[in-house]
Amino acid sequence: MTRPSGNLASRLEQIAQWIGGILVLLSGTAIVTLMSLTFFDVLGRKFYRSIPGALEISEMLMVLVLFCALPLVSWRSEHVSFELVDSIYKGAAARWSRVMMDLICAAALGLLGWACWGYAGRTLQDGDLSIYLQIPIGYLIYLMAGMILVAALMHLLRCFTVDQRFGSVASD
Amino acid sequence: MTYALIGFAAIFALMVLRVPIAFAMGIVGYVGLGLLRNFEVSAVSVLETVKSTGFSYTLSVIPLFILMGNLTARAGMAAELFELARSFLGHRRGGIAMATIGASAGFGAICGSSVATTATMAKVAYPSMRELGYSDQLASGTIAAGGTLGILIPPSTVLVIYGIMTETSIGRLFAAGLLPGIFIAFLLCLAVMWSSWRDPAAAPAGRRSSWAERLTAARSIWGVALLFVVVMGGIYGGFFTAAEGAGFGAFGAFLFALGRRKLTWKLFTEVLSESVRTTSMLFTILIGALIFGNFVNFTGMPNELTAFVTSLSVPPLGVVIAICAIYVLLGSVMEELSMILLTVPVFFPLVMQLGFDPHWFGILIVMVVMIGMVSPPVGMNLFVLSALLPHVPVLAVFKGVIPFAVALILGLLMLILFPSISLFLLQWVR
Repeated sequence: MTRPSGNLASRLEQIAQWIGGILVLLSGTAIVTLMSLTFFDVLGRKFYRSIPGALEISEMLMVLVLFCALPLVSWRSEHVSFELVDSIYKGAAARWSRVMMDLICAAALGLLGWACWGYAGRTLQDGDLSIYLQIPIGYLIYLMAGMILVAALMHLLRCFTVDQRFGSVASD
Repeated sequence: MTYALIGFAAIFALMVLRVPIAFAMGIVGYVGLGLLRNFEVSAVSVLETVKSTGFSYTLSVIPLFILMGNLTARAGMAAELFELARSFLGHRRGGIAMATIGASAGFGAICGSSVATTATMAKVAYPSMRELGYSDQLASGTIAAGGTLGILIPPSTVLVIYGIMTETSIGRLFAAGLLPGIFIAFLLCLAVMWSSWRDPAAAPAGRRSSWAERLTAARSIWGVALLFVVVMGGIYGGFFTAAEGAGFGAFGAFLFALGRRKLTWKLFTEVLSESVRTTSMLFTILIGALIFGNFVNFTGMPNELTAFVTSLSVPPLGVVIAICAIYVLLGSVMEELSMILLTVPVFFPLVMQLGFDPHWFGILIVMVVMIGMVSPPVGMNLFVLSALLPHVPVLAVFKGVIPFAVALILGLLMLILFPSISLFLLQWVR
């Protein structure tokens, strides 16, 4: 692997930050909507009537919250791992074990995203609609698949920017 | 059984390669089922798991409780609880530490995460303890241990996840957590008394508050009380489901934070970003565990293990104690939630087969998670605390928490021996 210049690494970092900003906006809006929807649905049901299709909308909002935040977690490497072993890797081993880890994650997510994409297509073809609002489920699975692929991309980006991160950690 | 054990070993190997546990479980589950049956079936099962976990209305309880906890943590409610507890206990030796435990318990009643409780109490209680001349050791140990009450006293993320994994009613689990929560808070206060008896200089007494001050402090916690009564009362009383209660609670906490002018736009986006990331991280582990659980069930390990354990003719309670001992040991080196998710598919059927109550076992699970969170070297609360109080040596935090860890282990034993502490309230809950 040729080592990318620092310039490229910081460009990639910028791109990731930018994608991250959009995703925070999307999933943040989704969780606020989920909260408000649940609140007003319960209130409405007690005093008047529940919001039509609230349950289905909640489910779709859940997909947005979970999957739009996934690339953020991946990029910041906030997935829970076995921290005790981190100390056994030192120097170059530490760097390469990180790259290895990110490559494994990228491969796993990449495969899953790819399979999910196909699944979305099949669901759309089968004409699966949500029961109340008649929204094609397939589109949401496309969103899931897309976000899983973005998360895979984040892990790949981390492989290229990893040198920089290590520099900053060491100088802290 | 052999296949499942190979699976566990493979997960461990991947974890040593630093692969996050969620991915390790997912990969091993997919490959394992693929090898045992075929890869097509395995892929379909993985996709079904991802989809059904994503599109789950019941699971919306998790992000909503996380959001509620993060909002209450920023709304300044913990400070008022602490003031109230301090006005009653502050004049005793070790009183501020006991007040910290009390405030953590109170805060646990509106927050379902022990990390959030620890982080909040570190900001609220640590300065007061230092000001009075408390030792770093006692101060940090108290906060780390008190923080664990966040997941025992309902609402509780751990109980929610346990309830979902084992199909046990979340409302009833919440009811089962209430008395043990109070009981453990009491034990932790005893640990404070013991520590301050051993080293009186570490825990000086503060000023005595007048009754007028106490009343003022009591009045100021109406927000917390209201939130708890509405959310938990609503869930216990069957007015709404856990997910609806969580939505109500999050909205309530949002209104409080707004009303107290604590919520700037920047802080709000931070809270949101933190909440969605925590949610997504938890769900990744949940999905990984479900995929791995499918594989473990396919190998027939849970049944074989049950048959094996029954053939040993050990007393059932001995089996439960052994399971808890395994958890306590494992919890000191592993992240607790993934440990639970990894092993519940195996242990839960066994414990049920032995004729125990699922709610009671759920409380025991929370207890071992709590113990794991304060046991070095891999205790989540200890890390959180060291990060928040950088000038406190890590070793002081480790040392300070020991009496509390002992108290938690004693508490676990008591809860095992006296199931009615957990089950007493259940008779009134639908």
